[in-house]
Amino acid sequence: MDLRTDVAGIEAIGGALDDCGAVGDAFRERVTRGVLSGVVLRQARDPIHVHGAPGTGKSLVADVVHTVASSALGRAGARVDIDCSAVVPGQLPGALVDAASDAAGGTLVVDRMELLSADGLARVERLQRGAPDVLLVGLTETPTGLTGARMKLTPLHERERDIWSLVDHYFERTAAELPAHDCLGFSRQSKADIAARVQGASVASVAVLRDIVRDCIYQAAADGPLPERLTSEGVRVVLEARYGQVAQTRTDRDVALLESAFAAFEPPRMADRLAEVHGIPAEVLERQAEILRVAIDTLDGLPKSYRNIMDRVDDVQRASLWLLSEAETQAEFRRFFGSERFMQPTKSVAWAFFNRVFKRDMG
Amino acid sequence: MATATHTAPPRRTDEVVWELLRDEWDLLLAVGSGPTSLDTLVRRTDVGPDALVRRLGRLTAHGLLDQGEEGWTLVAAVYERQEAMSSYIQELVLSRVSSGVAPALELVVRRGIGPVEGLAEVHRSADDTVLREVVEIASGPEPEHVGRYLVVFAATTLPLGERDSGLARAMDVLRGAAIERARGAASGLARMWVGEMRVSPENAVLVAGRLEKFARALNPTSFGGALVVAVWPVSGAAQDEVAN
Repeated sequence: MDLRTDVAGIEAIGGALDDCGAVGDAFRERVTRGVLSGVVLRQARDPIHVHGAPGTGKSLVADVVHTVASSALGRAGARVDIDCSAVVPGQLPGALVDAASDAAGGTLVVDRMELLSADGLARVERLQRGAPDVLLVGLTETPTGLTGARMKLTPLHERERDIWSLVDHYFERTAAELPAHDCLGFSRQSKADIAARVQGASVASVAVLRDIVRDCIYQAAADGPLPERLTSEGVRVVLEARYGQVAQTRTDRDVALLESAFAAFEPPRMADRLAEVHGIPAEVLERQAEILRVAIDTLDGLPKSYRNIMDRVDDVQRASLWLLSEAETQAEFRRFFGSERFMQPTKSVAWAFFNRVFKRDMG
Repeated sequence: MATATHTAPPRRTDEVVWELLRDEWDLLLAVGSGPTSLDTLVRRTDVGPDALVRRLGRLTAHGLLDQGEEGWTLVAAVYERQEAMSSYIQELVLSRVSSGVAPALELVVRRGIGPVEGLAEVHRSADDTVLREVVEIASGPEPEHVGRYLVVFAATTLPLGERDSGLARAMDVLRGAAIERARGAASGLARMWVGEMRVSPENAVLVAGRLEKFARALNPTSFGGALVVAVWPVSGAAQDEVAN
């Protein structure tokens, strides 16, 4: 699998995520990695099992997988869904066989697999081996232990970056239900307050976040036209009255985020920064710095002023370049830079260079 | 900060205004000391005039800008919020410091060995002298060639760890100041003053020099905790001041 295929695969997954309405950078990145390694690179030869708490986006991942399998892998078969909670255990074998037949060349999504007995899981495992032309997507709250690719979806409260995006997303959707308004959405402070609730209550599901957002918007709407911004003043009324949030929770979370932000702060080393700017390996720069240090140390009896240091550095660089050229004569030195005249220093420049390198008195 | 002033600029703590300030940070910096015409703003921001007029209208309606015959000017004010420090620090400080290739123009960390209450006098003195000067320098007419610089003046009463580099020590002071501000602790002592200037390189060096001189002149026995002053070049504009 070459890089171009990977890029095409990533683009196909990005397009599928857009089509399926996936919101949140962290979620999208996780799904992109999981679908790329679990489906695209394997050319849908293996089943993929997706596990995560309710509301973490398992069904959406199934949508993305089927979309990518169709668009990027050319699988033209249908998508067939089985909800294990709706199948009587005794009918599972037949249901699986029928579904696999209908999903030939396509995708079979088996949802709620955590409800399956050991026997049920064994039948799914057999189906995986016996129907290689079916891309099986297993959705479950807890890992099933079946073979195939796996993808774990993290709960919402562990996806800090996604909460604010989802608040904006649910604002747009909810506000569209209301009469025309000029509200621009939630303020940063109110989004931080909502995120504190999600984190403090270990909310796993985006559906719970959607309810919080809707509660806040409709509470504001009940008070009159939506304001220009939904600020913390109004949002906190909802969070405190309906969700029991207290001020200390918000402060604690802000402090925890600050601690985390500073702990994660790690600017690149200066050598790495300069190496990138000048397109040269950092180790070379560091070696050169050590050489310059030695050169500067030879300034015995002279003040280590800018002028004196730059003169010494310039002398050392010129002498080193002459050495590198292995020139015995000025003419050889000039030819070191190329056979064409335009590539060479002029004779007067080479002459000045020569005099500087060999400390010839020009006076 | 829009204009040089010898009276303390008003403090604004309204959440909607703060939100607008954060949303329109770049546009406010593009307006600068002004007056700045619409044509100039279109050129500086690469945004169409219709969209700009709407945004400028909102900023003017909320009192962040004044509109005159020759264009818009920033309204001198100190914008202050205590909450949601984390997003503020991330967006306006850490991301700028970590993304820049160039090191700080100046960065001085001073530890005090006196009473932390002495920081209050340090702040009073800074407000009356160096920070006023910084604002005045940043509020001068905008030259043709300008750069964008982040200016930080922060203090904490929290003890600092032993760190190798000046940047690490500076981050310790910023962390302490941010956490104390977020907790509402050390009122009047912990401080986070962050400004962004759009000035000539010469004026940026001048500002850095003034801050450095102020910090080095502090008598360590007169205050406790620690203080940092710094100026970082950032890729982008400003004469604005945000205190938190």
